[in-house]
Amino acid sequence: MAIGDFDLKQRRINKSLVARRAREYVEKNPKLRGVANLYREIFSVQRRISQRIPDRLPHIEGALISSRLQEGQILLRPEEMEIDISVFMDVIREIGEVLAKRSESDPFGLQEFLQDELDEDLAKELVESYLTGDEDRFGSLMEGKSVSPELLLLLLHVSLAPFYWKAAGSLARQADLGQVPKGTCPVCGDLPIMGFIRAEDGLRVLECSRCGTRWGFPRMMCPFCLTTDQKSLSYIFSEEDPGHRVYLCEKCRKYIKVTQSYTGKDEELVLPLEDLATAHLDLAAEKKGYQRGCRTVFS
Amino acid sequence: MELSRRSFLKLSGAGIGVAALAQLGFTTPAYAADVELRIREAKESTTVCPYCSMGCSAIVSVQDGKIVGLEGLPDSPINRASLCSKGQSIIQVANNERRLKKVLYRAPGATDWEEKTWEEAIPAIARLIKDTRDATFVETEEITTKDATGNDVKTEVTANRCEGIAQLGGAALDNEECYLASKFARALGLVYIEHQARI
Repeated sequence: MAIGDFDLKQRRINKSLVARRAREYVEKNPKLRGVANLYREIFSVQRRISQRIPDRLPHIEGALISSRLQEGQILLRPEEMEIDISVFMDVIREIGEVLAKRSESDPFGLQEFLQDELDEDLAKELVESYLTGDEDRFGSLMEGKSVSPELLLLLLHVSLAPFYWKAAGSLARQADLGQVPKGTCPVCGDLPIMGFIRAEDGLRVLECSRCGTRWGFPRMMCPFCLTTDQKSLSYIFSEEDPGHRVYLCEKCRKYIKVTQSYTGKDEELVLPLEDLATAHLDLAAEKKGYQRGCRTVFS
Repeated sequence: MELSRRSFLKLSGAGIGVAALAQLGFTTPAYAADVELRIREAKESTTVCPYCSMGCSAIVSVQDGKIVGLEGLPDSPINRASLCSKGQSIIQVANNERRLKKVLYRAPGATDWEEKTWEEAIPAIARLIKDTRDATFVETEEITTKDATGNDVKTEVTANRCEGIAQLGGAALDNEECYLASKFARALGLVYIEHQARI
């Protein structure tokens, strides 16, 4: 291994791997069945629809990728995302149906939103305001809509993910993401789901909750406030589950979960499921007064 | 978590996913494993390997005041997580039944060691340094130069040099410690100042 070259491999997961892993997790903890199935079903839709999205690099390449990384800028700016709104409509409707199956009476207002309120014009505006973080515009668009903000955000997050996968996949292959001191994704700027410590060299790798990009992050740094004050950093673990750690930051009072001692191939580690399967550690950290700093795969 | 529609993008950070799942019936306790957890806390600190001159960094894990783990620091540009076999053994510097935890003193001519306190040891070491320095201090020395006609000329010049003590720095010292140690040595007039990193 050359100095500075961590040879970071991006995740490589597919429908059958996710299904197999979900079964394994559910066998260990049957309470996971519902939420693991929800992830599996959403992933299945995302994966299928992603095949309709062209696998092409956004407008940046080579030197621009390196200079943006060095300057701490995200590689994929919202205005550089190409969203085919007809494909987006398909994915949001299909995922909406997956969510709506959770209840017959539509208590979330999802059915009504998808059937009566959402058209291509609204979808386009929602996507644009969501991507650019235009809160006022987004707020106006949400006025009078039946669906709850949390669920709409979930829908947007998971429906845009396949577009991000495609764009980020091309960029991540060209960028050196072995050691990036950023707690948000260097490609799309979103928060991580959780991380893992690579068995071969102890590198801490985080995975983006939206585009799935993995990046190496310093071990002795908080991903959320970026402090390197070692007196403020610690971790907890459960004696019954030594394969996971929860890194705590005394400064910002946030935590991040990390898998360690994973013996399989890193590329096949399904962190969204790991995150769900380690919910007991979320509870333990929250009981100690720390707040979750990561997103979930759902938003 | 109840959010107003106008403000929810501001709050679209970490909590939203958990809140959305809860609306779908998946509260965290609903799917968290039912296990009695014995939670332990640990701290990680970085350190520098004290052996060779490379200055490799390591992470030391400490639980309940005891070192329980050691690994190379991936963040270090010097060793990028790797440690040589000797470096991997530095945990034994701390966790070792043969580690000296008290000052041992053997009097001149004695065959046995006796335990001393630091309160006794530090003044004794200072005394020895002072006595050795005073005994071996060279205030002036005679040097020989040539005059214009080529004849030897002897001159007395100031030396202020302690020749009876040498100082050797180690790899475990950081920059600032090395600075202080060498400053101290030069103040005593030492000229035999060396560091392991030059070896």
